[in-house]
Amino acid sequence: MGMNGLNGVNGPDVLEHILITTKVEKVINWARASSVWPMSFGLACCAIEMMAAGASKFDFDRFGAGIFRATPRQSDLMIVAGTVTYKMAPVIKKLYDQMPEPKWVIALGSCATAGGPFDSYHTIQGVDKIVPVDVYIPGCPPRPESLIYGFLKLQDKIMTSSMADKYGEIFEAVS
Amino acid sequence: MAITKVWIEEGCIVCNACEAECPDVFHVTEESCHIKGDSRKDGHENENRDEKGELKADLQSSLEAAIVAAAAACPVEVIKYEQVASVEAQTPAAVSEAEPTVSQTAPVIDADIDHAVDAALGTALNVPAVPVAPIAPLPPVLAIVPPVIAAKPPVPPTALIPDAAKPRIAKVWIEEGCIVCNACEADSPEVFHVTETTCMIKAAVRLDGKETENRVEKNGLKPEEGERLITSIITASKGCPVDVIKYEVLGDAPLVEVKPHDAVEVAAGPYIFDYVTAPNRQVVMPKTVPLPSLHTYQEEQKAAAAADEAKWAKQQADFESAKTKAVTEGKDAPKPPVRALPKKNDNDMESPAPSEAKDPDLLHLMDLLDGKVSQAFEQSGELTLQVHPDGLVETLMFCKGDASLRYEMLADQTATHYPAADGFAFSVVYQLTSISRSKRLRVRVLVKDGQELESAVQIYPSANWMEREIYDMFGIRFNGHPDLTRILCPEDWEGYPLRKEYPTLGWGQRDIDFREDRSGVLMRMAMEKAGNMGINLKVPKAD
Repeated sequence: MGMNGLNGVNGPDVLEHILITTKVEKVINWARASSVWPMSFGLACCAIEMMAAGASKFDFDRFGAGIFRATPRQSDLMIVAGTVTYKMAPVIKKLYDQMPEPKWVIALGSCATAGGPFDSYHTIQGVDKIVPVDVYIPGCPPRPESLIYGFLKLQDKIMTSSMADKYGEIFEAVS
Repeated sequence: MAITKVWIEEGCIVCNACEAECPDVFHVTEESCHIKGDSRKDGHENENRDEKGELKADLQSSLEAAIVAAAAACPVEVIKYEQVASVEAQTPAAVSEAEPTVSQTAPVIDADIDHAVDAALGTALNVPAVPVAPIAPLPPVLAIVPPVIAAKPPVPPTALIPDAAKPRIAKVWIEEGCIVCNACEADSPEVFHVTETTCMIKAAVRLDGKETENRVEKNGLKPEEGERLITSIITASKGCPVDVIKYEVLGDAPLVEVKPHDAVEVAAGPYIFDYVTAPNRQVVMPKTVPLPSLHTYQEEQKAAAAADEAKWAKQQADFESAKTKAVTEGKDAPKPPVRALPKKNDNDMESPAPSEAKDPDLLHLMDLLDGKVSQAFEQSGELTLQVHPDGLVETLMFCKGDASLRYEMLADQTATHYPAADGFAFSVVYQLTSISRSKRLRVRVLVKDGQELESAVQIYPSANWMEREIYDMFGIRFNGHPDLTRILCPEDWEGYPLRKEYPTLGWGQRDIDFREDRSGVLMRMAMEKAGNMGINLKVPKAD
């Protein structure tokens, strides 16, 4: 085999058929978006819908998100499914902090989005007061289809994300 | 040491203090204070603020002590002077060795910087150079020393008050945390003005003539006002329920006896919390339904009957007077009134009326607990027994242990807040169930705010968590409970949420905000904010 490639055919032509050229960032995003592992973590009734989404009828696993991990250290995605109370807020924050980067958050349902019907002394008005949220899913509770749709939106977000998105904020904050 | 120049900055209050200290230099006119022409080389008599003419050489040393004393005596600190180590330092040859120090302010420096900046800008922008005025030669060392006076013990304030013996308030200000209770304005309306959010020091008594809380600037009071209002200011400060009124007094403060203030007692109805932690959270107390009971019902019936009777009597009296009037005027007599029948009540949602106790269980319990039962009644088949708090444990023991009662289970225990009630604040209710007899009984006690009840845990173990919940939500404490701690709210929660006066949105607990921030700024801000609101944002520790 010389410079002329395989079996006498010109090298570049053959390489176009067996190689894909892309960006490292794109490959990494594709890998990340295709196996987002959520955390087993439910706060209220929305968690029942989340379980239904994971079960056989809706089968969340089709999108690579079926493996609910029992520890934040192995999770990429926190689905905040339910009412966030003042008492639970530090726990949620701690779990989020224990998740390795990169990590994403879905606020599932009205309560996690904006406090829901509990405009009261004990309820945090939206989990985005505590952790940054990537996708908000309305509903009380949302159907499993809503969760799947929200998850697909999250995959879109992951696919279009860039290193600069995350660290740009920090640079802005510092400068 | 000698003083070469002395001048008066803006803000003189014409108090005569300086002239009393040093009449050779200062002359207080009706509007300001002047440096006398006799003492100056240029012979002008004015404030000497702009030209800064020098003092006469022979006066520079001799009047030094008097000028320093006058500057110290000035209550608004507008007397400025330039002090050098010795008179000889004035000669240009001696400048470098003598190291004159400029006291307090050195206007020369500012001018120098301005010129330098102008010059630099002019060059950078390629603007034709503007001739810059020659900069005044600087003394070699421009150490800005603290005023000599500051090091000395403060001059007795008596020196600067015309009437030397009287003490006065120099400054008064409001710290953070005012609850807008109006107590200070009642004590001292000339000084304090309570707005909707905070308390202000009035402009009329202040030197700068501004109306603020005076917290940052700490501007002084006018001397004569501070002297005249000293008692009322101290009274207001001591009467402040949250102690945010602070003051500085010159001389011996008079002893002021302060009675507990009436204004702090909050009237019924919409009122303001006097909690330091959550100021300005107004709570409108809801109208509470009266405690449901046979007595209440009977009283209501009696009142309604009396009102009906009074209405009928008035109708008859009106008819009689109308009749007499018609007879005297020769007209036809009016029709006699007809008493209205009671309105037909078609409200089928109305709760049935309570009736006297007839159930054998209630009668049996009333026999057993002679004198400890306040009332017993039945309503739509539900049995209610209201007992005195002293007889509560006895009642529950009878209910569980008596062979003819056998209420084995405490199905529920809860409480209700009646803020408007007379003689009690809460009713605590025990819902008992007899599984063997398929029967239910309600035992009720009334407690005052702060009164402790005996725990029912020894009799009914299921009371354990329910009493904790009552304690958590209402603050009612139970004697003999094995572990009376909060059960629903976090341990460091403040207040009791199911009391009627508790604001629906809490005291700011839910407003925590700790989004992801790598530098920790948001977290620190949240903690500071929480600290301001008196909330403890501790993260629970894992076991």
